[in-house]
Amino acid sequence: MKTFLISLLLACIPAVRAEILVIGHVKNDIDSLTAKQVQDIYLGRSRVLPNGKFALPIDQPSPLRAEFYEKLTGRPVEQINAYWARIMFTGQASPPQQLPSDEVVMRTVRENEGAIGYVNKASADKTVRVLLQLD
Amino acid sequence: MNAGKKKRYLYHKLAKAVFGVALLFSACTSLLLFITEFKRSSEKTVLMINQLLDTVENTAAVAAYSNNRSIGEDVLAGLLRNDIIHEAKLEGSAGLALTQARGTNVPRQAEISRTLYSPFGDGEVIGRLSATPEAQYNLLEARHSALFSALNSSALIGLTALIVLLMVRSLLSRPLMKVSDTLHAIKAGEQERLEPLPGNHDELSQLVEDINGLLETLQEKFKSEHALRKEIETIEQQLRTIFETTSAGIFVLDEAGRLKTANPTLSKVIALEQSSTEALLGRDFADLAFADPDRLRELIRLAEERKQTVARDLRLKNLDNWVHCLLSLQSSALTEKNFEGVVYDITERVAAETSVRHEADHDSLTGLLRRQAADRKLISLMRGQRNRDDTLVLCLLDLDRFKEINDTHGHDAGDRVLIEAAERFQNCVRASDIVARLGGDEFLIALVNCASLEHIRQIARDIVTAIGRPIQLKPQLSVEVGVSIGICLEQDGEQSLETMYKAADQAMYEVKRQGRNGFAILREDGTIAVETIAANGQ
Repeated sequence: MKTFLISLLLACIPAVRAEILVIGHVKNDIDSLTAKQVQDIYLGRSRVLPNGKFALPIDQPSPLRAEFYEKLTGRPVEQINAYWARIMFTGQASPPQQLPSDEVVMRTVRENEGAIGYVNKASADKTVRVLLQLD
Repeated sequence: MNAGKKKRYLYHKLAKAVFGVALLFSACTSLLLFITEFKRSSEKTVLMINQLLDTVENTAAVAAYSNNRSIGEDVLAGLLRNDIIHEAKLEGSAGLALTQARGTNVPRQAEISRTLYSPFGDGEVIGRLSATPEAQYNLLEARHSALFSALNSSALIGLTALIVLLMVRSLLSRPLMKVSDTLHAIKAGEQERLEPLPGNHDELSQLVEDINGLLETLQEKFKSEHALRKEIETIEQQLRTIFETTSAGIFVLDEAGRLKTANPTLSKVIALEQSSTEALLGRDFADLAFADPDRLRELIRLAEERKQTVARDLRLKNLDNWVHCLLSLQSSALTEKNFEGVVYDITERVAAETSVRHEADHDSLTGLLRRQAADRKLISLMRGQRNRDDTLVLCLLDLDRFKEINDTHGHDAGDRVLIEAAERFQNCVRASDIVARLGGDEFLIALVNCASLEHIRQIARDIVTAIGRPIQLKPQLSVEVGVSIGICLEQDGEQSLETMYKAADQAMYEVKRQGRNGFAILREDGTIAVETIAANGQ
């Protein structure tokens, strides 16, 4: 357990600097998404995927979340939080659901056709479709 | 003095002028301020709106980005909470279109708008936020500002004007009024002077000094003038006394010869004691006073012609009195032509002159004219204007046997004979004829206006007969004389008196030669017709 943790930690450290993959369901007939499309979906501007299916974006806890948004929008995550705070105050929308780890994200994406998530490159496998690579 | 007129104070005028100008000035500055303030306010509004837009830009961008109507409305409501915004608009590229506006109805203003960019990254244009300024606000702001400034400047200007007025009133107007009132009360030539003004030596005190100087001068002038007037009055009084008490009549005639002025003596001098001098004024002087008015009129004409004093002795209307009248033209360009004159009584002088002349002209014994006087009369008669028929007939008479009477009875008897003869001569001719004693027992009779030669002979016969009658010297003594008459008729007025004398003398000599007591007429052809008459009328 201790070694696992250490190995995880070691895996995580390069992972911080590593690439983040935006993933979707394999049956989803979208080959890829642009950064803009991803941004629109994650910031609640767009609720559907380009193919017309309802999108279900999934967030991760920090620090991956911070990295993800920073890479996606070029803005610090605090700004994104502020943005959501404003939106949420109106009660009209809410930020994407936050799941605890890459594994849970992988599983959720595998199970939902409209789900979109992001994970460390290392966590990704063939069970999901890589839609965008952020680096 | 000016009871009817309301007194107008100088400083009231000044006050009106100052207030008027101040008001105008204040209005001008307020208007100017209003305009600039309006402009400034507009600029300020734009600036403020821009700042407001800056403030809400991010939130608006979020609203546009997330297509969130609620946030957008919040933003617009927030904007409209500012008075300077009339209308706010938010448009999003995702289909958001929100507008909020105030209910006021005002002219549309230029819109201030701002492009909204995506809050995330790539600078994508996601919408537009715009706001329209509230025109009413600018106006209100400007009006308020202008009003404030107007009040402010009015108060300042008014206060300044008031202070200036009070200063002018106390420093200038009041003292001036005092000076003016005192001056008003001072009568010319009085001893009174203006009080010198207290305080420093300024223009007003100089004015007072100058006025006092003028008053001083004026008083001196008055004094000297008064003295002069007194002097003139004295002189005038003296002249008037002379004018009124002189024995000469003094008068002024107008151009037409009517009396204008006269002294009281005049009526006395021209022997009209019953009329006062005043009653004579306006009357024609010539008609009023003189026996021959035309002689005075002629004198007036002469005075005007010669422009110098002319004089003449004139007989008054009552025929007894004479005056000497001096007359001259008053030469003044200002008044109309006047004649001033003096008359004084010369009755006594004329009487004396007349008697002297009478003595000179008349023989003291017979009272007949002397030769010279007779000659003068004859000459003037011959020269004067006569009718053609008025032939002058010259008769020379010589008494016959007069020498014997003189020698026998003495000179007194002779004189008596001469007197008697003279009387008889005069009885034989008309008053208009001339009878003169040439000397000794020689006489002259000049007949004028004889109708015919026969008439002459008749007269000559009458004379010879009359003289031939005895002359009673004493009760028991009478004498008889005869007369020889030489007659000469004037021919065409060509001969001289001398020639006529000679001719008559020649004829008389012929009478004497042929026996005396008769007459002879020298005819035109030179022959002499002698007619002798016997003594005792035969």
